[in-house]
This record gives sequence, C-alpha cells and structure tokens, in this order.
Amino acid sequence: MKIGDYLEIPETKKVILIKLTHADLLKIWKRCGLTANYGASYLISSCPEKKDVMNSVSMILNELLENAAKYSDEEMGSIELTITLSGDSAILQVDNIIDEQRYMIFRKFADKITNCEDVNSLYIEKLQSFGENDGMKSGIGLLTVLSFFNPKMGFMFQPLKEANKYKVSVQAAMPIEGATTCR
Amino acid sequence: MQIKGEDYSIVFDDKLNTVNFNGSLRLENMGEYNAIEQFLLDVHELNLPFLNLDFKEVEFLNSSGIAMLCRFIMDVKKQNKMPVIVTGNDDILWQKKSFANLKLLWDKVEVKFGRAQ
Repeated sequence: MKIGDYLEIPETKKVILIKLTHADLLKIWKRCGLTANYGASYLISSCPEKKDVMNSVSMILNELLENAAKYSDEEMGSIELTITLSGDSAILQVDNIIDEQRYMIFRKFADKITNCEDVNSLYIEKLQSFGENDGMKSGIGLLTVLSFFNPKMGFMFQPLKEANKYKVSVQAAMPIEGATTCR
Repeated sequence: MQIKGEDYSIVFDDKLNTVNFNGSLRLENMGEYNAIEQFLLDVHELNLPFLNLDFKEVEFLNSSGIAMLCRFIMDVKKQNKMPVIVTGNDDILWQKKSFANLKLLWDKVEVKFGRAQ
C-alpha cells in the first residue's frame, strides 16, 4: 500500500545502497549520524557547488535512520538506505521491517502527515506537549523533517510472508536546485 | 561549568552569560538529553541579567535534541526570570527553522544569527 508521493526507483538509478542492521545501530548509536553524513557527502560530491544542502540532506537521512533503528522488528532488523537522483530532487529512502502493532500506528501516522494541510501547526502542538509529558521517545523525527525541509514524503507498506511483519519504505524527496547539471 | 561528549561540548562562559554549544548532538532519545537539559537549568538558576544560548558552532542537533531545547524554553518561560537569547548560524537551514519555532513557544525569546568562526 502506497501513501503520499511514493516513487518506484529502478535499481539502475540508485546512487547508493547501504545495508545495515538495527542491532548494530542501537549498539553504536552514532552509526546513524555517521551513515547519514556519509550518504550526504557521497551524494553531494557529484555536485560540489551544492555543498550548502549537504547539512540538510544529512539531517533528513539521520532522522530516517534513527526511526528505523528505534522501531524495527526485533527479529528482522535489516535496514536499507537508498539515495537516488531524480530530476531536480534527491530521493532519500530508508526501508525496514516492523511488526503488526507498529504497522498500525505508523500507517495511521503516515496518513495523517501526508494529508495534513498545516504540518507546522502539528509540529508546534507536538513540541508543546513535551512541556507536560516527559516521554523518553519524542516520536517527532518525521514531523521535524517535514516542517524544516518540506520534502515530498512517500510511504510504502508491504506485508511479508512471515506472519504479522511488514516492510516499510519511507521516502523523502528533497529538491536540489540545479541537480540535473550534477555530474 | 561544562559538559563534554564524544562529538560535542557545551561550555558556560560566565563573563558573557553565554552557553556555547559546539559539534554534533545526535543522542539516542530525550532521556539521554536529560543531563544537558539539567545543565541548562542549572545555568538558568544563576542570577544572570540574561542568558545567551549560542549554536553557531553546532552542525547537527537531532529531533530529540530540538525537542529538549523546546522543553527547556517552555520551562524557563514558566519561571520568566531572565531574557533568553538564542544565537544561530545563518548558514544552517535547520537552525533558522528551529529557532523561529522557539519564538512561537515563547515570544520573549530573542533569536539572532551569525556565522561560525
């Protein structure tokens, strides 16, 4: 099931594909940031004059990877990071596997944020709720990405043959002005 | 007063009433940010004419860290003891977006921008 602006990416178009496991990310948390920085640097190396967007690309990748590390299924923890250049956009995608409970929550959340007319208000409401609630997991990563960078977001949920497991792909398409001229 | 992590440092300069943040803060969750939040609250306990939080030398702060900063601002808003200034880096988009939101949480926050040295 697709939600939002999800694009099918042909294998040949992928700039980079990195396979990770959620256990390794949870063991050494800074691996999320290291991988995000690497992905962003690798992408932007083809268009060095766009260096100013590297920080934003790394911010988005890091939030997608942190979510995958936190919410992946305990038994099936494989994570894939894919970066593609398509037209004037960099498509940043993270795939991971989630259980039924997480699937129900996440599908609802994906519906909500892709159909929301005012993401900033939703984000501010969530920030204000932290004043009253000291939850350990902020659950605010995707809202932060949408509010700050306004990428086109797309989600794909696919049931796996294993009972109650779903593969989820989260895509953020980030416009990079003049990207078509990148090498 | 200071806190140092593997990839960041947070140092209070008592001559300039400024907390200088440096590096990359991507801790795992809001619980891990508690020590930093407590450090900021301890500085805020000092009887200062104002408090400046300087992020010009910060490259990354993840969404949990941004949420912690917002929680701190809402906390000091309740106390309303001193003006709070947040100084960001004009070259970093997330700082511009994020610090504009702090003003929505508390209109008395002053947001300024400069460049890293």
